[in-house]
Amino acid sequence: MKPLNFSRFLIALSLSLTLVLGGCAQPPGETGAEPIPAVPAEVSAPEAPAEVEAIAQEESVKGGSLNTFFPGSEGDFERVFVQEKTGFSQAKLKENGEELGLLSINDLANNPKAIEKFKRSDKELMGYPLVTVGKTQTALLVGDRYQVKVKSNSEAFTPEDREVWLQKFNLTGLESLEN
Amino acid sequence: MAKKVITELVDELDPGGLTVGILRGLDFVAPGEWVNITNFDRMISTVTGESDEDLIEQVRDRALELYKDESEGYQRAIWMYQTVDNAASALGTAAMANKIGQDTFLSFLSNVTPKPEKAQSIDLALKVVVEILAFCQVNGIPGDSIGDFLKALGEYGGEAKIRMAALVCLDGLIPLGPNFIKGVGSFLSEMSPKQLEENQAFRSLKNFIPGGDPTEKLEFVGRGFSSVSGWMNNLIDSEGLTQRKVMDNIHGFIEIADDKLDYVGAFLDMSTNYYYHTGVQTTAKRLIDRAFAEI
Repeated sequence: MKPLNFSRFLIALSLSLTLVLGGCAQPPGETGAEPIPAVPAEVSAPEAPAEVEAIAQEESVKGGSLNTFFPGSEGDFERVFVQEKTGFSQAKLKENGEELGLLSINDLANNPKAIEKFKRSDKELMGYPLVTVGKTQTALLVGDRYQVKVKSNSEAFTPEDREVWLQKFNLTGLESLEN
Repeated sequence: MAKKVITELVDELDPGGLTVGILRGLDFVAPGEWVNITNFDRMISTVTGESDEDLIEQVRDRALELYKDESEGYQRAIWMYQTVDNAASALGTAAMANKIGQDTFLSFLSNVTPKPEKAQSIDLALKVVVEILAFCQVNGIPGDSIGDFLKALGEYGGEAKIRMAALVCLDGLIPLGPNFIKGVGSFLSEMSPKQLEENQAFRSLKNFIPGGDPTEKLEFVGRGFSSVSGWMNNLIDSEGLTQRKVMDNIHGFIEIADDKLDYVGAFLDMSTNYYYHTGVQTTAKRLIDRAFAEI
């Protein structure tokens, strides 16, 4: 990219200041010109969101109540929670500080579309329907409601490893979780 | 104006330009970690490691559903990044668009002044606070949870690390000098809530800053800045960051006379939007992580 000449910038800025300040001095309507927007349209953000606490979806459990069913840290493996939203909790799985993948539990009470893929699967793990999603995820459906997923972020973390880690969740505990 | 959805916000990010050029100049802080992704589907592919179009479509649809729900916090996080980085003002944009350079206009230079040190100090502290608040919004952590944020800060990578490095370099070192951490800390401890109220970004953000009254909110701003001071000091020490080193690294993008260094901060403030740019990328990536886990 061509370097920006700083003295040119200052000159251009001076001009712009003059234009803007000059523009401000004119009462609206006299010039017929469009007012200069405070923020360019291309970076316009949403309006200030309402100052409300998260509206809990009636049928979904709180993310925090899912945390207790995750595998804990053990040996060289460390579990670090990263997201906790209504009906969803996610943790990183690390080995000796290197990220292997992501662990998650997701309440499908408000997301029935995600249940469909389990109905098409004839595989099971520990008695729960099992599916592979893409190349990187393995998922279980627990209690016809909770989706437990393990995702590989590293090739060293294989599909077999994902099944091992799925079994480390407290699946029977999760199955009995109610609102 | 209709609210833009997350796919549009990512797709509209600048693939080049001054903001991106300067961030690339700071790449030495996190070599090769930041890739400027400005296409939502490509971001899905990068984050998920998947290339199947049907799968990418499912993730995109779920991400849009989640983003649409204001209570999920993703919209609010992006609004916060935008609000505190309202730098790409009409002035800066007009200045960048103009290529006028006749010497006869040099007399206008007296109209340009660097931002006062106090105003810059407040801006820097508010950017730190927004990083904490946006992190909490995106990850679903209570807004006053500085401890959780600090744990995550140590693991920041990619665009998030570049954003924080740029904060130290462009909003700290360059405009305020090598002792900016101590200086801003002292300033915050001495300032009055009324002074804080005079800042436009604070007035926009104050309802989201923890604290029952202006005094408590000011206390949170001070505590937030102080909590990140150690991380900033470590970055400066480990990278040997100085004004000279930063300027040398972004020199390819701006030609600056040594005696104009105090104008550089004001210039960058007006002509770049690195906080918003990388903030959108961070928020979108976390949203994609979640959407992929939920399909």
